[in-house]
Amino acid sequence: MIFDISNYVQGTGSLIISLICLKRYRDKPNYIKVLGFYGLNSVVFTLFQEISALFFENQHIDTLAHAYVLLECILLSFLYYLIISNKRFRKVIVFSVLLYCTIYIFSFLFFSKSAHSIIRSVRDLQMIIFSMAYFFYLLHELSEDNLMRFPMFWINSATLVFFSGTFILSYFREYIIAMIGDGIADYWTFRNFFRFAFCLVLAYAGWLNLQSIRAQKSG
Amino acid sequence: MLILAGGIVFFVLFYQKRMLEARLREQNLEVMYQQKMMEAALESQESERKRVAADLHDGIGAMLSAVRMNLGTLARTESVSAETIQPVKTMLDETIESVRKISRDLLPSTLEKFGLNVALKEMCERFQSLTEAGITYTEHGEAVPMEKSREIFVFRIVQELINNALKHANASAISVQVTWGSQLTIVVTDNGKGFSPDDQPKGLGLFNMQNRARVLHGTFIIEPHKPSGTKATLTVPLT
Repeated sequence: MIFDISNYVQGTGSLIISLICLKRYRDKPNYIKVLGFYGLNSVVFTLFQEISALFFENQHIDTLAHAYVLLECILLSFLYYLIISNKRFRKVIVFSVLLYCTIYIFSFLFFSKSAHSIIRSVRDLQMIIFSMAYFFYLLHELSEDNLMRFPMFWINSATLVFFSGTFILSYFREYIIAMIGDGIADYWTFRNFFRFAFCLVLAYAGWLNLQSIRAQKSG
Repeated sequence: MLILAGGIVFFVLFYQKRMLEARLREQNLEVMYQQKMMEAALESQESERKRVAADLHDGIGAMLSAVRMNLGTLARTESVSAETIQPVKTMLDETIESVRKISRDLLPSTLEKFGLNVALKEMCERFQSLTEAGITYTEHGEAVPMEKSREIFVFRIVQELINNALKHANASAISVQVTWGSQLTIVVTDNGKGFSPDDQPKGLGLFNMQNRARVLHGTFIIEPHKPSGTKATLTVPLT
């Protein structure tokens, strides 16, 4: 039961992101809009998974999950592409996404048994690298603003912490299943609540941006 | 991995804070350095003026006076007529007076001997005697002695303001109000040409006055004075 609750909780987190980040859509900067679509994407796939569980006896649940991973990687990479103005960094991001798509296809073609683990661990690693690179970029630019009022600081911190946390889980998934068996549900429950915390931090970033827009409009 | 990620986030926050503090310290040092450079430049300017004033008064002034005395002796001989000597004497008198004036402007000896308030009053009276403009000087409160280097800067600002009002603004009435309290406030108003709020006055004189005010850790505001003219307010802390 707690596993089901954790699923709903993480879906709610995604809904909060999409609501906050897509509110006053026209005034929002592009990277916040992408964050909003990321949240919406999570909500939609969660709904599809529920429909699959209710009406199709979980037949397509894995396919949906794999498709979600690909879209998640593309959306978050696009967010970094929008926020970083450096041309070299942008080229690296585009190359990484193409490389990921290649690995994604190859893993299903040639490593179908481990594909679940491969696509997730590569996604996690890619996000970790992007977030660390962005921190380096942030320090290099050295804004005089209070970092903690800067939405992208929170987005980046949440990305780094979340994907660092899930990387081990993704990489050693087969081993963990082999060792623990049904106990994987407990770990996945923890992962869901962890994702909910991740969503809350992203929503906070969206809220900070909303506050700054309101302040600009009133000022 | 989680702990490492958390550590990276805290490191970024800590590093940014340290870098900003270092940048602020550097900026403060730069400002202090520029302040010191400006102070040194202005003090050097004053000591140069003092030297030139002394050379004018003691050197050229004394020689001109000696020439005048010898001319007087020559006039008593029969070889040169009084009518020939008189225009020369008049020109010499005017030259001696000009040298004295230049020397006085360069080094106001009243300031050294009697202090700022007496020097300012005497300067207003001297300007009054040389021009047709009416210059009024009013003082409120008890004068507080300041460091000579600060007094000379204040003196120069007021001197420049009166000069500008007479030469550039063609003012016919100038008022100098000095108020002594917890700070020294000097307000100089004139009824000259003035300027519009959109067209702030620029020039080396104004730049020098602002620099002096900055060295004094004071404020200097110049604004249009209704119905016409300019109002300049100098505020200098006394502590």
